[in-house]
Amino acid sequence: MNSKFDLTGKVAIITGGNGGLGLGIAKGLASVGAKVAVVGRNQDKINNAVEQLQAEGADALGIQCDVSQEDDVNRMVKETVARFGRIDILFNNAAISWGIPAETMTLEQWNNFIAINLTSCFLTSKACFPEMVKAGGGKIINVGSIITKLGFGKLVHYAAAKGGMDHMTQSLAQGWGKHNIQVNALLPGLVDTEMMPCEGPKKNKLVDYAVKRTPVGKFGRPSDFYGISILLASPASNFITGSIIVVDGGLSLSI
Amino acid sequence: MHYAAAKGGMDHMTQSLARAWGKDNIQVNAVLPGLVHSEMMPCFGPNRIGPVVDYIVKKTPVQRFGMPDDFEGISILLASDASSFITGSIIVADGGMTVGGLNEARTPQRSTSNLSGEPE
Repeated sequence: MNSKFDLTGKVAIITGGNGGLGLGIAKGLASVGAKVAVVGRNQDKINNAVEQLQAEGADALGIQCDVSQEDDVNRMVKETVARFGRIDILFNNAAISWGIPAETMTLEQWNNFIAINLTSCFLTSKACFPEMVKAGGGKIINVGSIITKLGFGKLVHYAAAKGGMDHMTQSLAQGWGKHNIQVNALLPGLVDTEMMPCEGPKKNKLVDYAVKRTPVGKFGRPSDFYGISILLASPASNFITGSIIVVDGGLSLSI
Repeated sequence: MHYAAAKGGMDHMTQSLARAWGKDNIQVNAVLPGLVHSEMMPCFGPNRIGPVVDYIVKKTPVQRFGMPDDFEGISILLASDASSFITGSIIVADGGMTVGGLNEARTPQRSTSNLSGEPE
């Protein structure tokens, strides 16, 4: 293995790391030596995620936190540093999504979506910044969505938040480059998670259509993100910053 | 212009081939390097193109030019099974050069062009 992919001694926070894509990312990072803090709201899911990670030999910490709340986010950083001593990597992966047409959405609903999907990235990035500077640099990876390459009338709030995330990625990359912090975004397509079940009884009705239109002919699984996550979290990507990387099996080319 | 047109063609060829050959389990992606030391663009040594290199490095978030070994990671990823769910993607690997405020620097006569909020 190329040593640039090695994360031994590095510490990663993954928001929304207690399930779905976030847990997949945590497993990927742990597989190359990172210590991982998985963050979420549901304590049962956190416990389950930590157990799964520990069963795979990872040094894992679970933190219950609402990433839209500044006090919670500051505590998340403190708990991670108390346990692992440093922070090198932040995956902003926590998100919520369900369809509501803009014409019927209340301001309260809008503010809630923006707070959890976008403002959270500002709060976590800001809170991790001093720790990354202390560590000599860092990696921030924002998990967006291919929705910013497309359009969905019932997901205007989600698209707006994810579009904000794309552009936050580029400007943070510019702003924090001098601190040796690289900031990139991943835009997943259709991935089998609780948010978008691709098989089983809760299978989303969009799945068959989308898979048929996807060049690779399949939906993604969290494990499909091990490679790109390790790349963007490791020294192997030290010359990549401000990049927005589509990981969708080609779906966004085909609809 | 000729170089840009050819590379633009390559980007869109990437996306169309990705779509056409997906069913044959062929993934097609593009890497867009920024300033990288090479014979085409010597960044150090006797043939170094000084003013261009200095200007770009100053405006690049990672504050350096790239070396060929900076591309090991992305190349391994895209060549391996670890990227079997990545196709048709155009991946910029430029140290942030294209988000680094080059446009801002191109118009120094505008006193309000310092968008970084920091003293020059």
